[in-house]
Amino acid sequence: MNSEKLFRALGDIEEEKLEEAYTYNTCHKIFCIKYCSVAAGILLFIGIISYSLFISKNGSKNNSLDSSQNTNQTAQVTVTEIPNQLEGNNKAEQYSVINYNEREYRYTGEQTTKENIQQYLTDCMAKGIDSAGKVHEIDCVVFSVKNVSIEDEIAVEFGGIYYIYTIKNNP
Amino acid sequence: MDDSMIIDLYFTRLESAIHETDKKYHNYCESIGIHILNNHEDTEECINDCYMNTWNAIPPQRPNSLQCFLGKIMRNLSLDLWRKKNSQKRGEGEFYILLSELEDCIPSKTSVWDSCSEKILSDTIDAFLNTISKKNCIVFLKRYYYCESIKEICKECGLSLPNVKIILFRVRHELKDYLEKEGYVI
Repeated sequence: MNSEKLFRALGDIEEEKLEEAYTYNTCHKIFCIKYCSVAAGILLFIGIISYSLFISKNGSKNNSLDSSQNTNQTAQVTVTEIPNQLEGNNKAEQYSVINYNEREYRYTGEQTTKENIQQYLTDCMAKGIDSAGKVHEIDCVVFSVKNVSIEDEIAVEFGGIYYIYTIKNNP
Repeated sequence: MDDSMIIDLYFTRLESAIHETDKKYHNYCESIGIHILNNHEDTEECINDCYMNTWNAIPPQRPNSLQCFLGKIMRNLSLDLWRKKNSQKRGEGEFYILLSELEDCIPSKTSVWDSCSEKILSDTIDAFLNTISKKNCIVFLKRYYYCESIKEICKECGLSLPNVKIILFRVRHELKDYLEKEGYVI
């Protein structure tokens, strides 16, 4: 009887406390904390993945830029900047000036054989302008010559024939 | 529907007030009833009686909180029915355990206790609950107002079973000391 009286008396306490006690449920909080942390983890994971993808993409872009720059550099180095007049009997005479490694080489009028070739240096595209003013392009390959420094002389192959080119300023 | 609108329906004596109350507070009333009676049929009976009492009480009363108003009626009705049904078999059931726990809080089984006003006792308990921590207060009310089992409280409050038991034990003894201090003992 006494405890029942106490039990009934509990029914008259402040409504605010009763409502708070009824609605209080940390399960929701735990649920929220649990699943929010999982969601945060997933977001973090996605973020890391995205970031790494972004970095790798940028890296490859930079790499590709670098490589394209290299290619351009190679192309710039190897392409004859001075248009040849395309006069002469062979390709070397037609494309008598070749730019390689920022140096200008001029055809010497000499040819060499494969045995005298030391090392492949680069592919190149030689440009020339004919008498009508039309620009022509031709693929060629630059090699070093045995026992000769490339600062003095190079060999350029047109159609299987190796032509000797020397630094323009060389006498 | 908002509580004030439901109360207005009671004031205009529209039966939809009961329908709206049932829609909003059936689970709440059921939760209180089932914890005391541990029987669905008895709980439904109490819920219907609760709605009837509410219909008769509003108006003239205008409760601040319809939820607490229903809760109080539901508790008292459930307690009455529980006593009626369990008069022959005292000492059985979860609710009996709960009541026996509450006996720890009673400072003396003298006539002072029996004669003290329930309202004054409520105010004293209310004042006591203001002196304890929020967490302890919530655990105490979940157990002794909403009659939840200790396991349910553990789950809802995110506490371990021994932790809840210790909290309840301490609060009961603190309440007893408080009531003694307030003059509930000769």
